[in-house]
This record gives sequence, C-alpha cells and structure tokens, in this order.
Amino acid sequence: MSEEHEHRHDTAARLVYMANQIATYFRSQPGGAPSLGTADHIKSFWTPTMLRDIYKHLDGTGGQGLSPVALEAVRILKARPTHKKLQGVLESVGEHSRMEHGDDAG
Amino acid sequence: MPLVPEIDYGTPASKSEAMVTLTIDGQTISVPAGTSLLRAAKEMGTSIPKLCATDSQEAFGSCRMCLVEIDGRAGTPASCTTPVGAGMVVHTQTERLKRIRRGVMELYISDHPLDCLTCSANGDCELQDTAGEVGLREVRYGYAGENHLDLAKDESNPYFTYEASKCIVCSRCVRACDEVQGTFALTISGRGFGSRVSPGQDESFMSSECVSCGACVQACPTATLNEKSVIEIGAPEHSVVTTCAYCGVGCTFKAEMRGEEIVRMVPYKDGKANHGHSCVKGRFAFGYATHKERILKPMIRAKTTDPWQEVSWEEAIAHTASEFRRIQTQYGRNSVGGITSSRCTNEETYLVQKLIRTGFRNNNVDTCARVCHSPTGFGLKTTFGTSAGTQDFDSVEHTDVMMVIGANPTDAHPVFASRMKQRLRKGAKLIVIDPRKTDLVRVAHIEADYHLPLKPGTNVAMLTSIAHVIVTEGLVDRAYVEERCEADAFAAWAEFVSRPENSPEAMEAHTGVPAADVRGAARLYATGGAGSIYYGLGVTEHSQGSTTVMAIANLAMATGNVGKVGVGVNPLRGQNNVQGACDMGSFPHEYPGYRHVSDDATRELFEREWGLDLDPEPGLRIPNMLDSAVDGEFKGIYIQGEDILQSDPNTKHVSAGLEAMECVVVQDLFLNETAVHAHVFLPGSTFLEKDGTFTNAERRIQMVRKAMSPKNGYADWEVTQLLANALGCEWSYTHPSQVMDEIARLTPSFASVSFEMLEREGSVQWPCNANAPQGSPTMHIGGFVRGKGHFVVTEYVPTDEKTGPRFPLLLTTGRILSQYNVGAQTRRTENSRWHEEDVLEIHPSDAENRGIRDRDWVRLQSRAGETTLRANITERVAPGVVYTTFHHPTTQANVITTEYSDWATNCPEYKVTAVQISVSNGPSEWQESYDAFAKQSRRIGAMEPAE
Repeated sequence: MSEEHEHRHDTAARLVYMANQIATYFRSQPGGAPSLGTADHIKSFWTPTMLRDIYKHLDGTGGQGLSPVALEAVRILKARPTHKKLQGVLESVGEHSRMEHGDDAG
Repeated sequence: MPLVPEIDYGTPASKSEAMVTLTIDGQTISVPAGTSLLRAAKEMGTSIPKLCATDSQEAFGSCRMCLVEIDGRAGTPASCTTPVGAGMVVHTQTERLKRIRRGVMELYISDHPLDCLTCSANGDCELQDTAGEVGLREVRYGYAGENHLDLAKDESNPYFTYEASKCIVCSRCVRACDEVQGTFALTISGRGFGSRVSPGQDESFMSSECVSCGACVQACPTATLNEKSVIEIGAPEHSVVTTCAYCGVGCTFKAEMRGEEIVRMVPYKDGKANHGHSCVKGRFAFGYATHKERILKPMIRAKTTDPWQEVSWEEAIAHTASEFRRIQTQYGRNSVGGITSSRCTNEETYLVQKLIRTGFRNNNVDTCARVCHSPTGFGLKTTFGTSAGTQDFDSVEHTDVMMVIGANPTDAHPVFASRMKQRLRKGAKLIVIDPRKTDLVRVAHIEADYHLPLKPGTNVAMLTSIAHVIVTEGLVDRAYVEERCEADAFAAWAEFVSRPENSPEAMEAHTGVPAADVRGAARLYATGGAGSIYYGLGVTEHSQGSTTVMAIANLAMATGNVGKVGVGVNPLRGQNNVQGACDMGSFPHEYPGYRHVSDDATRELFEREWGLDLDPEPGLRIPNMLDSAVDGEFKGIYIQGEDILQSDPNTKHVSAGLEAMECVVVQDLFLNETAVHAHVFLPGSTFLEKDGTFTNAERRIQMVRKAMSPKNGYADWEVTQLLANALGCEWSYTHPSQVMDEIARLTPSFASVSFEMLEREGSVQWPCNANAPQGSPTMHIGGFVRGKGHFVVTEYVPTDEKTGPRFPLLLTTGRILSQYNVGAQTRRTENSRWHEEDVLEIHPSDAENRGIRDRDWVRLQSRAGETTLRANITERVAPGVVYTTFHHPTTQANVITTEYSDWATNCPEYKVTAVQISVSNGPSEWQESYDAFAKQSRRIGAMEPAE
C-alpha cells in the first residue's frame, strides 16, 4: 500500500494486501507450489463474501496489485467447486437475496 | 456456608521422596525428610503455638513460641527450624515449654494494645489465638514503660493500613515481600527495641516500591496490616472459592462475604495456579462490581445520538431479536454476527458462539483473541498440533533457562512473575528479548543474563538468528529431533537458518542487537539445561506474529525442550478466559476444540447435537466485520463483554464500522466506549454473580462460583439464552453445568470434564478424556499431538509500517500492573491511584531533540491519527522507541495504531506504529470531538429531560 492509500478503506485493496501477505509467507516455504498453500489458507479463513470480492477484483482488473503467487492462488480458488453442503444450508434458511456464494462456484 | 478453613502447617512441605519416622507426643509418624517438626506435628494433628512461622515462607525461628523438647538433646529448639530426624522423640507440651511460651507471650503483649474488642482483627488474630493457646492470664510488667503504642498509623495505601503499634516484628510481612512476591519493598529498620517494619527507606507504603500484592497483609498475624474493607465492614462470615476475573494466570480466591456484601478477596492456598499468592488487581480491585456507574437495567434507542431509554428485559430482548431478524431479512443472513468475551465463562462463550451458529445461522463469530493470541493458536497448531501452551505454571520450578520474549510478566501476569522470580533467585538463567528494559531485566536480586533489546518488528529476524547459532554451532538435540520431528521439514529449516543472511551478524542490521549477545543467548538456551520460553503479546501482535510463534516452536523442538517438565513453549495469555474463549469455538472458522467448520464429520456432530444444518464456510473476523460494515453489508452485531472501540486498532475505523451498523448490541457492566455506538445495552453480570468455569493460560479449567445475586437480574449466560430463544432457538439450560456437559459431549479434549469432576478435583488441565482422565499438566510427552513435530521456515519480512522523515519513531504499546486492558474494571477502583492516565515513555535523547520535558503534554501522531498525552522521560525505552499503555479512553492510544496485521490471523500489529511526537498544549481534535460525542451518547432518558 502506498502511504496515500494505506488508511483509506478500500475492500479490494485490503483483500489484495492480505492475499499478498499470505503469498509472501508461502513463497518462503520449501516444497514448491506456494500458490496452492496460499489458496488453501485463504479458503480456510476467508468468508464467501471476501472470496466473492477478490474474484470480482480478479475479473474486473485482472488481479491488479496481486503478487504472482497470490494471483495464481486466487485463480486456483475461483476454479474450485463450492462446498457441497453450502447450497443446502442456504436453501434451508430460505435465503436467496445477496447470495454471495454464487460466484464461489466459479 | 461457613468461612472456608485453611490449615497453616507452619513451614513449606518438603519435596523429598525419602521418608523419616519419628515420635511426637507418643505418636509415631512418617514424613518426608526435611519436614520441620512444626509441620510434622501439624500433619499429625497437633498445633504447636507459633507466631513467626507460616507455611508460605521458609522457617525463620524468631518468635520463640514453637519451642519443643527432644529426648537426648539439650535446650528447647524451635520446631520450625528443626527438621525431623529418624527415631527422634519429640515433646510439644511440657511444663518447661509452657513456662517459656507464656513468658515470651507476656513480653509480646506488654507492648501491644489491649483493644481486642474494637480491633479490626478481632476473631482473626493469631496473636490473640496464641495468647489463648499458651494460657496467658496476666502481664506482670505493666504498660507504663517504654513502648510503641503511640506510633503513627500509615493509611497511605488505598486498600490496607499499617498500624505499627500492633506490630510484633515477626518479619512475616518482610519475608512475604521477599520470598513470595519478590519485590523486597519491606525491611526491618532499626535495632533491638527500635526495630520496626519499614516500607522502603522509612517511607509510607504508597511512596515505597510496594506493589500492593497483599502478600504482607495475608501474612500478618495481627491487625498491623489489615484490609481497609475489613476495618470498615467487619469480619466476613462465609466464603466462596472462585477464580479471579483479571489476567490469564487464573488465581483462585476466597471471596469472603458478609451476606451478599463482599468484604475481601483472599488468595486461596489450594489454588493450583497461584498457590495462595495474589496481585493488586485480583486481591483488591473488586470495587467495580458495586460501582455506581454500573448499568443494571436494559436500555434501547433508535439512534446513537438519542438518549438511552430504560426498558424491561422482555422488551429489550424482543426488540433485539426483532432487529436482528429484520436486518437478516433485509440484508441477508450474513449481515449480522457477534463477539464472544474472554472475560466471561466458558459456558457463556460457548452459548454465544452457539447462538450465532444456530440463531443467526452463520459463522460470523470472533473474540478478543483475534487481537491478542490468535497467532499462538495458528502457530502452535501448525508446529505441535495443539493451540495452547505446553506446560503448567509449576513447571517453572524445574527450568534452568528462561527465555522471556515480548512479555512483561511483572506487570501483566504478576503472580506468575513472582514464581519466575523465585526460580531465578535460586539460580535459573534468564534471557529477555524485548525492546524495553522491563522489570525482569534488572530488579531486586535478579538480573537477566542477556537482554536483547531488539527494534520493534524484528522478532523473526532475532529468533531465526538464534536458530542459526544453534544449528551452525552443532547445538541441536539430534536424537530428539530424529525421534520426534519430521525429518524433511527439519532438514529444510536447518538449511534455511544456516544461511549466512540469517546469522546474527547479518541480522544485526535489522534487530539492532549486537551479534555477540545473540550468540551468547542462543548458546545459553541450547546448552543451559531445561530451557523454557515464555512469551506474550510482544510476539503475537505483529505482521509476522504467527511466524514468530512458529520460530519459537522451532527453537524449542531443535533443543529438545518440549514434552517434559521444566521446558516448553508458554504463551502468557492476557485475559482471564482468553484460552477458554478460543477453546469454546469463538473463531469464525472453528467449532469448539479447534475443528474447522468445513470438516464434514465435525460439523455433522454439531448438527446432530443442535438439530439443524450448519454453515460449512468460515465467517467474518472482527476486522472483516468492520470492513464489511463500512461497505454497507454488515449491519448488526452482538458484543458480549468486549470494548472493541477502545481495544481494537485504528479507533476511527472501528468507530466508522460501528456507526455504519443498524443494530449494535453491547452486553457489559458499564456503558463502555463501544456502547457509545450501541442501540441496545444489555446489563452484564460480574464473575462474582454467576457459576461457570474459566480456563487459564496453562489450560487449567477452574470453577467460578456465584458469591452474590446478579445485580442486573441475570447471569450473562441467561441473557444469551433469552436472546437465543427469542430468535427461535429452544434452549432450556437451567445451570451452566448442563452447558459444560454439552461441551464435553462435543469436544474430545473436554470429554471427561464436568462440574462434578471440577468440584472433586479442584481444577483440571485439558486434554481431559479417556486417555488423560486426570488432565494433562504437560503436553506432547512422548510425541506431539500432531504426530511428528513440524519445523517451519521463518523468513523475516519487514513490516510495511516503516519509519521515515514524517514518522521517525516506533511506538509500541503494553500494560501496567495496576490497570487491566481497557480499564473498564480497574479504572473504577482505587487502582487508578497508581496510574490515573496513560503516559508516553520517551528516551531522554528523543525528548531533548524535541524540547520535551518530563510531564509535558505531547502530541503523538501516526498515519492513522493523533492523540495527546503526558511525557515520561525514561531510559526504559531505547532511542527511537516510544511506549504507552491503552487503559484510558481519554487517551485512546488505538487512535494511533494502524490496521496492519498478522499475515495468518489478522491479529493487529499493535506493537509497531511509526509515529512522531511534539510538544502540545492540549487534547487533539479527535479527543475533543470524541469526548463530546461520548458524553452526549451516554445520556439516559430517564435521568435527563428529552430534547
């Protein structure tokens, strides 16, 4: 983040920053495939809404600001299927508005 | 329900395994070698009169009251200083002994006020009791001679008095301060008849080094040192054994009561975490429980600019449930969430996360551990397989080398710090890694062997360079690593840390610490015997917090320092139940027992128990909730017992997030800072008003017992149940024990835990299940929970929060002894006498460069904001580093801190903020506007006319 932007609230910038931080860690780990580690970490801790927003950023800008590892991780995630249970849960509570998980199916 | 009795055995228990058999008063008894005759007699059931002896202190042998006769030995030795001997024949009551004791007692009483009926210790005075035991019936010397009866009373301490006229100079207070607390604030001044207890150099208690831990008051056998609350109220008539609600040490106390009025809190000798010791917070700072500012009636309002309106519990709960349902209908299921409290019980925390998962039907639950020890959970789970420390506190007695990293235990965990100091005085070595000269670096009778004053933000560089020394100098415990750890991961790690760029010499440019010191410390830790690491938020609250925890775990594994007594990795948890809150599933990605929500088997277990489908995707963390609120997507939050506006970073952003929500529900004791932005206030209950359990930093689950009725009408768990049922859940808990039973059914590490078991055992450390029916004081014995220990490569990545021309200094934050976290409790006690405001510690050179004098108002600015506070010029901080606490809302230190956070957990980087300071003449614009807003927001309609 540049100094001008670092404290302005910007969801996409914040998610990009987080993804890059995670990617920096996995890039340092032995064994290769840092993008897989990054993708798994993001999948474990990010909400579907956050995933939706980073996919939106990917689609809208080509992933501007994402490091190569983070960019690859987001692409991997976007290609993964939604958890099979999720759709059932959503249907059981009758929620269809703002169904942020749609994008998740990739 | 009487006072809970405690037997004083006179001298500490011997730890010898060899037994000695002797005869006392005709009875044969076997006791461990080294036991005193005084203790042996007491264990047999015979009380030898005593005054200077108490079992929390080593024998002193000064009062000449506990004399005995031993066959074949001349004289009348003191039984406290005489160890048992095989075949010894001892007599505790003979004509000779009776005569001597009575004569000695007569001398004591000849210089002691005879005001027993009006004395505050009447009925609780060992001098009075002993006079009775020895049959004192007269004092032949009269009272006309020289005496001490007119000595002045020292009432300077807010919690206890020192009445020198009643002192018998037994030195129990002095020894308590030395041996138990380790402060050495008291001494005996003068000689012979002029001998008196003296705080410092004949100072008052308040102006001396005394830290008001209460050990001296506890030890005093007379009314010389007595609690002011006892003087004002009278003697307690019953007591309730419970667990302190301050820090993560988890001290056991007796709440001594008169009816429903608390008279005093007395540390409980059988407490496994504190062994009868206490600090100024737990011992004395309980006045907040009955403070006039406590809110006891529910309140609601439509807008945060409206005054509060008091309503019934029914209306408040119905309104809250209605609001959450409205919001979810309008904005979606994930538009609401909640925060559990690390101050509340395990059962209460469990119910809040259950409400969110089953009532809100999402996983938007988080807890204050997000901003403190979430990296501990991540780091230790990754390396060891369990999100918790490895030892019990007693382990410190067996350690040879302590490495204390980013922790200030004498302020933040004072009772455990006293245990550490006891061990250090007995010869253990000490390495302190901290930017500041904390007390442990150099304090009475203790001096760290190495203090590595690294630049804030360079923990990973430091620890990796220590690892470099251990590997490259052949100090790795190869046998341990080969047997216990993953070979490939170790090899990769060893290759990584061995690189020249990770040497202390190369890292010196980052850490600022001379390489020779780092090498010396590394050698000491690796070769000094049983090595233990204790760490705090100075490790976790960084952008590389999780990496630092893993670097610590690496060091412990490489040196074979995990899986036995005296070693280990020991996170010093901040709040009383932060370990428990984490255990109870307060994280948005984990159910109780640290199992991921996406794990089908685990989720199905909870679905069966709770009777509905659960969301398999992680929910929002606290910072994500606030971001989402600012984005207009997150609209409602239920916050139990947390004050995120004051405690979380970048106050302006927190404020914006809360203000953007449509329903902020705060459940707390007071209208805290977060409540300024709330629409519903649900009154909370104190730890004295409910049953439940807390889990301390050593994984010890301990009972919290109700000592008085909830002044607000409900315990916190009952309020959560009311809300859950209003949201359609059908809960029917009638006691927290039923909640613990449910936790045990669902959580393997708690499988054998129940209230019945805790009542029977006193406490237990998880895991407690079929494999460990009595709990687990030490973890990873024989193997790691995850199987093989996992080494992790820890590359140093400098924080993005960098100093520069505009912000050339680094701010780091922490706590002080007398205050606790956001200060909501301690600020409403006399503890504020020690710390009435947050101050900024500045090194003399930085102060001089800016023309700042001690106590000047200074403006503290960062990229996030600015505030104003007074300067404290001190060499505790290094040049280029400034430090403050965050206990006072008027300062709002977190206006300064930024949103940078740990890469793995989003734990905020509180410990590194680039700042500038300058002389100021008053509060900042933010402080003034916030103060005005807070005052307006706290108006209660019933008390003020409507506008």
